[in-house]
Amino acid sequence: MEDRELLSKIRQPETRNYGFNMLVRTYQQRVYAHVRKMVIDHDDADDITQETFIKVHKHIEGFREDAQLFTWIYRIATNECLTFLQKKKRRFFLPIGDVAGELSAKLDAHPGLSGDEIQLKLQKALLQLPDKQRLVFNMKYFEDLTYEQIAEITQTSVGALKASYHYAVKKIEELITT
Amino acid sequence: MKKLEDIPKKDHFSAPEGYFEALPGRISARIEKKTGLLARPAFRYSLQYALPAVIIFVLGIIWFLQPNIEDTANDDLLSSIETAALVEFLADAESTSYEDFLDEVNPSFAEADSLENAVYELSFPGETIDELLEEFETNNL
Repeated sequence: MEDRELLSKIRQPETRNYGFNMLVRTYQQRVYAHVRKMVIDHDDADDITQETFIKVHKHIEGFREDAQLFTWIYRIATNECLTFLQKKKRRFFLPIGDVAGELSAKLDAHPGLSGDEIQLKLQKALLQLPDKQRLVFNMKYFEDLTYEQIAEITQTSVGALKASYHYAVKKIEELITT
Repeated sequence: MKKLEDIPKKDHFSAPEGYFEALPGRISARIEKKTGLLARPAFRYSLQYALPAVIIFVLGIIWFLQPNIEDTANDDLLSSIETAALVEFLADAESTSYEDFLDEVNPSFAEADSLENAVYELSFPGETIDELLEEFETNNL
């Protein structure tokens, strides 16, 4: 179902629930994948994904169609991820390195990565990046978003994003080589 | 140096089986629960009548626990009277509906605090409230 049709259904009281259900079905996999890459743990990703769509439901009436629905939803998911990671750091009173250590331990325990040394190295290298840089990297490298889409999601300039991605790649290549 | 382009792109983070089939329903259920709660007349009624009892109770506790520089004997008498008066007040007040309210609503402390402030435009020293409510185990709401 096209975004326009989705929004039309959501904005009519008699089809709101159906329309919202369809919206979730349309975007849930992408949102989950986006979130999961950031927080690693499935249960955390599940919570954040649900919170994202609950917020979408709450604010969909105010959604101005000057942005794509997808980038708007992604922006909510991105903010939820960053908020979650910041809260995690504050709760443990730890700098980024230690939260990265905790997430790294979850990677070690992840069955999908066992036996795949280079992939494990890559995922661990990503955890060494600052959260926002990691987000940009994930969206560009894994999700193949354009810089323009990422700019809309992160409200950052295309130039800044290109620089961020370039440095992220360099850092990752250094880390996976050592 | 290893190049990123030489590493195959893989998605290792798959969701459990059946996760995406169930997710829309779970989200809808959570939204319905939130929406239904705020629309219920009983909830609004409870806010209007049960919250004053909560506020008076908490104020009484704050007052009771504050250090007192007056005569000890008089202070003890006064304190006990105030407490008894509070207990009597709460017994006469709609404590049943308040208990029902707690059972039904199960707000988090932050939600309850926020509701009080919004409805009665009051603010309390957060730490004092946290300590008090922890002491009386109402943070299990």
